[in-house]
Amino acid sequence: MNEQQNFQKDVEKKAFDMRHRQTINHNIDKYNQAVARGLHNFEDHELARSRASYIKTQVLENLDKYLLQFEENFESRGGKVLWAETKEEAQQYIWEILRKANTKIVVKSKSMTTEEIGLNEFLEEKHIENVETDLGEYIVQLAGQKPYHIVTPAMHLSRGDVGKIFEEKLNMPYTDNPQFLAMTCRNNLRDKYTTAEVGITGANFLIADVGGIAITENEGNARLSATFPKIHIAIAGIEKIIPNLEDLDLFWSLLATSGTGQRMTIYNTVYTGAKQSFETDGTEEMYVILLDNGRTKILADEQKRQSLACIRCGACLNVCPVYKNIGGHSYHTTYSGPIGSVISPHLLGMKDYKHLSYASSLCGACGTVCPVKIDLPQLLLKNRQESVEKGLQGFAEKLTFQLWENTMRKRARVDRWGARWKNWGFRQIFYNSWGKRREMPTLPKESFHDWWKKNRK
Amino acid sequence: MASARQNILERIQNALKTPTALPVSKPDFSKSPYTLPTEEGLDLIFAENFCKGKAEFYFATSVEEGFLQIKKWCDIFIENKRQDIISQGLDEEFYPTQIFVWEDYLQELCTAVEIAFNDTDKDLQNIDIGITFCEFLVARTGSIIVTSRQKTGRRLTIYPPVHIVVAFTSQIVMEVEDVMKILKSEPDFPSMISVVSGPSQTADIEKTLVLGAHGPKELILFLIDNTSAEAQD
Ligand code: SF4
Repeated sequence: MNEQQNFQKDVEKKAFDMRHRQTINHNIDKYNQAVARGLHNFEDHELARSRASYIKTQVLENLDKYLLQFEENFESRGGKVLWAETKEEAQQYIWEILRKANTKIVVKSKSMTTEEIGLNEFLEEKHIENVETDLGEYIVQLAGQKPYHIVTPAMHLSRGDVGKIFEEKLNMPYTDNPQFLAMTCRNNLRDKYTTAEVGITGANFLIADVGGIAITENEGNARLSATFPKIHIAIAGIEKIIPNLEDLDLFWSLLATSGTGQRMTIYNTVYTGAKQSFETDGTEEMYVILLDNGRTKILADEQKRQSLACIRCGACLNVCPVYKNIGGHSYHTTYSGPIGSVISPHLLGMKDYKHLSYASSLCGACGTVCPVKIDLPQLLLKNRQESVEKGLQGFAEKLTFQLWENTMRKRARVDRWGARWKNWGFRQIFYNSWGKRREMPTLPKESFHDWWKKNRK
Repeated sequence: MASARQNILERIQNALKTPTALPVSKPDFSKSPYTLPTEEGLDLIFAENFCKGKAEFYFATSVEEGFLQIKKWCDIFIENKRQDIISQGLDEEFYPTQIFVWEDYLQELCTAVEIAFNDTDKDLQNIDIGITFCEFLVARTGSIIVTSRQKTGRRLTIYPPVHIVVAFTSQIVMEVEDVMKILKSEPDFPSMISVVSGPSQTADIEKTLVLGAHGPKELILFLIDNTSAEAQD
């Protein structure tokens, strides 16, 4: 089965899974309420968005200079920058570091970039104990699943689901009390931070002027992961750059509001290296892996370049009617939702994932919420255009649309058919994409064309 | 992989030969996009915003008053823990309350009000309370800024289940931006700067708020006035 068929199969299943829909709606309702409250912290949210959009656009237009500035500043404080063209290269860098340090345990904090490079599977192959420390990630790791959402990995699971997973995997009595479940995770992980040799985190931002990375989190697991282990590795896409330390004020505020509806996320932390000579504790070595993995391809497209401004807040997913119906797993990509549909074809190769360009109702909601004003609807359309231009549609699909076009162009040809035949043709053409569970609309006996002629006077 | 750096930079430079098709014009950078505070004065703005979160807040008009409050807070904690241990049928002697204080001046002040503390990192895994200073307070966001150049290091501001912060009104600035400007101008720039806006929390299970995910479950701020006319000594 190819990706498109996989996608259609999963979509069919998920879209009519009522429990799934209930859980997602519950979570997204709560998110919406929080965001509505969070927006009160902005007198002029639009202005804040415009600034962020402007700063990110400037950075992307000068990306090489900012990356070099970042590298120079980070290394001047003792850290090491590693450049990875592909996910395999990134894995190799990590493996080299782990091997040299005789690593048995890695504590990992939530990072979509590590998902992108398939780090969990890689470390498993290498027999390294790899502990996800973010509660949501911990849950999906226990369940043997992938994160469902870029901000809320376990969004698709109800408290009862989580209770059952804990009961089964951790051999504990069943409970669906979130407090108790969260404390179980806390207690199970506390020793891991102090025994792990290496902490691996993502980075929400790379800060050029001080040579640092910034991590945003609510739980404190990333802070612990970058405190006790001897080595801290942060992995980030090359597009995560912002120019100045002061810019974090704006980006942290926007990320908090769009991501979770908070005024500020609980821990916003900047790391500019390992322990300095005047400090009393901290890591001994720090590495930043800069990942390309297809990003330079997106950069080379002067329209889609804009999508590299994304700060991964998840707002476009939460507002997307398609995402809400088919769920995060159906995409079969690291990044789901509207932004995932725009960038994944480039990170993963257009041929297999062109169906993602169609996973949108083009309702435009994503574009209005994006805190960095990425024109998502337009980029989704562009994706669609490209997959058509490249002739990537299935043959049958192309043929049908050609027939449809021919027919529609000439009214006379359509009107030659009686209503019954028109209905039949309509069903044939749209049956697959319309879906089995929706009643097909029927065409009236009299065509609009005829009705118009008769009634307009 | 040494060539990876070169390859990536070259691809970027090639890509950027064509400018973006979606340029953004420069917006107004002069005015604040945030909602104006309803209170007057940094201290009140801070207090109002800090209290919107889930942390505890105490205010004192002098160092002495502040530390008597802290002493009282700790005494109640110690007694509660003792009762708890006894009710579980355990020997209270083996489970004393462990308070850690690492900063010199803070140790002096705690000693003055007879708060017993551990000044090493031995037994850190049994920590109940960490008492620390902070570097700044941010009024608009109600945040506490801690850094790794404090003697607390990275550990004492994230590991304890209960984190007590002692701060002064003179440490309040309006925006996170102001903190960053000051820190950048100083020679001993810390390797970690953390903007803390409440106790550790998670909403990963059905968006239900749970406090104390991995960091401190309780965050308590004792703010001591050293700037207003009413401030003593
Ligand atoms: S595209 Fe915009 S809305 Fe979507 S995740 Fe990225 S920043 Fe958020």
